Amino acid sequence: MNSIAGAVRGRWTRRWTGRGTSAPGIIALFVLAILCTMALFPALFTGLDPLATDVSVILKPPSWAHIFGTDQVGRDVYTRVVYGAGYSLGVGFGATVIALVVGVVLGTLAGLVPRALDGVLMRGVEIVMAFPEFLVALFVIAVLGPGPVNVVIAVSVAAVPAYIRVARAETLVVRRAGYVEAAKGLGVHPVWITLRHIIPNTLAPLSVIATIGIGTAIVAAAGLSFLGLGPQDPTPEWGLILSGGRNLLAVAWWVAVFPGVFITATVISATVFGRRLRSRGTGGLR
Amino acid sequence: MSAACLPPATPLLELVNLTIRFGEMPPVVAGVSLRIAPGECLAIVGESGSGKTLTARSLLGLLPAEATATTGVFRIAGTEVGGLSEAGWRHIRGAGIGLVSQDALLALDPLRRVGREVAEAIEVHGLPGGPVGTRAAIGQRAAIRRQAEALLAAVAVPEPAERARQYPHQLSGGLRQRALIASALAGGPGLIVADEPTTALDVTVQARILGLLRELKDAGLAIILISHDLAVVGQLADRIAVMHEGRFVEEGPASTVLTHPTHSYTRSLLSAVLTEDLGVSGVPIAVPKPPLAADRQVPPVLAFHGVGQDYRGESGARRKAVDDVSFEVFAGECLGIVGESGSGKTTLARLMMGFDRPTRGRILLDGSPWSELSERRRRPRRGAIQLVSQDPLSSFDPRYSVRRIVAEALALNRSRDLHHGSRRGDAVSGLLEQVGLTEDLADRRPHELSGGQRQRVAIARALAANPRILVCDEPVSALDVQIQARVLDLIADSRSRLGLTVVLVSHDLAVVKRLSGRVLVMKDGRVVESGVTAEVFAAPTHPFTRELVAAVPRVTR
Repeated sequence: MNSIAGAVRGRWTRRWTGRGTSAPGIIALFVLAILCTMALFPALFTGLDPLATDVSVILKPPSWAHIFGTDQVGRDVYTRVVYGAGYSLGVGFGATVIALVVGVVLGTLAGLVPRALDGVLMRGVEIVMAFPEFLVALFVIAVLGPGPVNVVIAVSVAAVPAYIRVARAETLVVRRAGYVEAAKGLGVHPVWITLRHIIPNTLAPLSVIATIGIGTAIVAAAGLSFLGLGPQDPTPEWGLILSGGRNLLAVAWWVAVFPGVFITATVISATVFGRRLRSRGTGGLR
Repeated sequence: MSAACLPPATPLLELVNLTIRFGEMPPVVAGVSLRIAPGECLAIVGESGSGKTLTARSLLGLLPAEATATTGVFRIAGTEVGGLSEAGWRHIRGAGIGLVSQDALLALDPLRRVGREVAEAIEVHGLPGGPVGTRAAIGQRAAIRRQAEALLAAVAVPEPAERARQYPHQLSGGLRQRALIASALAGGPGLIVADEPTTALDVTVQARILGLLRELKDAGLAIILISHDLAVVGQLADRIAVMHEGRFVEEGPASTVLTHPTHSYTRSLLSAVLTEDLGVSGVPIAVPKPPLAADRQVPPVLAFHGVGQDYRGESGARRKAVDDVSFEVFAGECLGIVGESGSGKTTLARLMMGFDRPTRGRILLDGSPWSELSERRRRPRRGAIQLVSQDPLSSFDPRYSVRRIVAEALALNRSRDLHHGSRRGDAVSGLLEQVGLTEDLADRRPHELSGGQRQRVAIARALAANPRILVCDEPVSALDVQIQARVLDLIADSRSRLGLTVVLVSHDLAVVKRLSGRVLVMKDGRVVESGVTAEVFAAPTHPFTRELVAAVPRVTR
């Protein structure tokens, strides 16, 4: 080109560079991967028994032999935390799956039934949502009694209203979609339309809030165990270990701090990962 | 290009050798040069993806950040603007060159009154007569408002003072487009770039907007008109540049390009324009004779008896979307329904499909009740009447592949023995082949297809249900002109091959004329005229039909 070449540039669209990778996202994924492996194969991480007591090493601070120290009956805190991952993640995951399934069923129904019925259902949901989630879980435990299975039920009951609301809102949008009408026009039975077209298309946003919800459920379950309403000693459960170490904080900080760090790391990782999914939007899932 | 077709006067805009590329990819616009003089209209024509909108955007320095444009000379009103900063461009945009985009509803701020929108441009570039390029002072508010109203009046907005106080959604499509033109003119540019300014509009409104643009042009405004529609362009342009794959393949005076196109691409564009008088210009289309009264001993396949449909309006008042509509459709014929948007055409299509229940009257399918059936009793008969809609993408489940979309419809088809997996797979392939889609597209999702391919999938799905009636609601209005012709041919083909009855709803007279033997003209929810298509359009009796026919842009040969 003979004459001066000038560049015309504008900035009316946003840049798409840097999409898909971020340091926090990668760290969160890494932490979650390790925790899941721990939950499934605890023996890979430790050769000790989480229940074995050893009176010769009571309340020893962290050392090479016991990297997280030992507790008041000489159990290895690291081993107990590793074995506790299975229980805590199991409760978090189980409660979330139950809440998700119940939420999708009730939420989809609420979005499809006549308005009056929907109104009754949603007012009920709003009453439950008016209370803090943890308080609802406590109510449920108060009714059902303490125990590990009841903790899962309590945590999922407390979480379910949020899923119902999101599932209902999504259903209200999707039921008006062109493809739902197209299926109706073909003569597809409404039950099949709901199962094949409506529910699958509401799942993308729900799967995102469920990922974040796993973290919340773990905290709620650990909280209930901490109060002594879940599994009983000597089960290695993070909330319970934390609770046992509470009175020893002045003399043996390690008993409470390490399970606390694991709870925090799990919740943060689950939340970061869930947010990542959400910011990716529905592009990958729809 | 010969020098003869370039304007002799000092050009308002001069651009030499514009090339736009994204990253390291081959350029999407290559070697485009143009100049335009005051009072001249240059049209850039091409199908979507040809680079015409990118070219238009670069004229205002509005390219996406990832795009790199290089030019030789690039002058607007004598100022070199190549390599200008964003701040520099702000002085040019609005004052030197204005933009009118396709969708006025998107281009106007929904939360701002129309008058404010126009006034903003005046504030930025100063009142006419004031010092150029300075912001208007606070004390001039009343003067600015008067100027905004004067501009709205200049683009023939009725009751400009009142309209200026309304929000964009309260205006009709035509008025919105006028308001947008007024705001583009507010900074007093000598040149406006109009990117598909009438594509979203009804044909009668389109004719009025084109008339307005012509008046502005006669008053000395230069216009760069971007369009896919040669017929629209022919109304206004002095020169036409045909764009194909990022290059001007042909450029010259409008009359020459339209009558003696030299490039093969231009010829194919022209032949695809659905001219109204097909009988004269070649390619006659066999229109089966509509059945005469005597032949009508068989009951009609579809009959509307005094059908009305009300909607609850904004204020709670009932609005009649369709009122007292009666007509019959006979087996094997193609009935066209034309009218402007809001005339009740789509409501009719939805009533036919049984998606809505009419407020008054009844609809019969195959001589037996249809509209008053419960959904449970209607469901088994739904396969008999199938819809192809304007926007096929929204009618496909986004998670489904093409194969699954067609298979779902096939699975419901009770008349074929398709309950074997392999036989159903063959049937899907057969249907895709019928609509001209290759097997390798079957595993794609709808969003990975082009507009024409999607419409073919929609037709395949409709045919899978083995219908006797195919309702096509604006089947081609979202498509490029060349694709339009092919999709219409496919509909006509399927109709003759399968003996289908077709109800074709369109705002486009040429589309209706191409396929349908009989036509209904709708206006404000009523049928104002009906009859044999050729007769209705040759000698319209209702004033609205006359206006509709007169408004259709034609390629003059």
